[in-house]
Amino acid sequence: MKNITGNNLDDKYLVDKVLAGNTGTFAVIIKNTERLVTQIVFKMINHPEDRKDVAQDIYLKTFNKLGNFKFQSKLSTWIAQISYNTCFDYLQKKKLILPGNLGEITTEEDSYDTINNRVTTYTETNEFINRKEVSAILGNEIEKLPPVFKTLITLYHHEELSYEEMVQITGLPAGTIKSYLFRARKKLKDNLLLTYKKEEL
Amino acid sequence: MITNHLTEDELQQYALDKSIVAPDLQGHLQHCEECTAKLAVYQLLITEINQQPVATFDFDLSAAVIAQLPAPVTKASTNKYPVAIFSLVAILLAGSLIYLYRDDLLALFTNTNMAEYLGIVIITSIAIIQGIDTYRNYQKKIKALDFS
Repeated sequence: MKNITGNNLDDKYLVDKVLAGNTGTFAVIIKNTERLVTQIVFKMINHPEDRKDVAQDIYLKTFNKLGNFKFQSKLSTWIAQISYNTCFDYLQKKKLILPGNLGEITTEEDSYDTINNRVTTYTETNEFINRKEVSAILGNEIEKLPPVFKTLITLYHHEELSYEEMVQITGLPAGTIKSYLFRARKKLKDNLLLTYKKEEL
Repeated sequence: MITNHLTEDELQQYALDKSIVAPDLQGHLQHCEECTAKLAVYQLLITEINQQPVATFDFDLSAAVIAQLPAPVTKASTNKYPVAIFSLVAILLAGSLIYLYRDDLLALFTNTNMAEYLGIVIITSIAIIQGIDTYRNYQKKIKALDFS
């Protein structure tokens, strides 16, 4: 996992320059954090045009709030927190997510057994599974997950963030994050097998 | 070695990092085909999740944001220390001259008529106005040279 306190000196230098009136330096901050912000926006928001607007809104908010940044986390983590909150507000505004309900995953406990009865062993199954096919199926299945679950999977697996950083970004307790990640992976595994079997039959 | 099958949670943990799973569970995996098979699916899943393509925007986000930011705040890049030192030297010099020529200056104001008074006031006013104008021009040029 990446160091949570790293880059603070660089962060301070960049923030001080922007606050001193050098708005050009803000482009460096955008370049440094664009990947992380983009991952959050793409996982939280489905509409392509809205994604563009929200991403710009995130950085405009960041610029306006930069004087409030206390260097208690990495600048990228702080901007990711703004990203998550902005996307979350968007989802609530569009009524795509309800307050207190982050989108439930229904895990079918018996699906695994059903599949298991049809397949002798997964080792044999693996021999048939084309990796490209798996990747495509998985990509679709990830997109079907609720926004918060998709985002957590991306932050953990793609961005390699620590639980501590994910807590800072989402404001969710560490236990909840671990539970959501577990449920998301289980759901993906079950759906991957179900989809594969459907295609096989 | 344990005989119970690994839970889904244990399987996920093993697939993510086998070093954090208890040795008993690892022992079970060596002999249990069912758990090994389930583990293989999780390992495949995690590998594939890690290799999913990274999303990118099809426009220049940085340029779009920078275009919407307010114009840079220009700060007069004056170094205040030389200005202060120069002012202090000028005041001391002026004070010394007044002190040295105090008798002549006093005579100037005691033995002069109205016309001479008027001349002194006009010349002093022009000098002050010129000084203010020069300072304003200096500030404008410094702002124009702002490199930030």
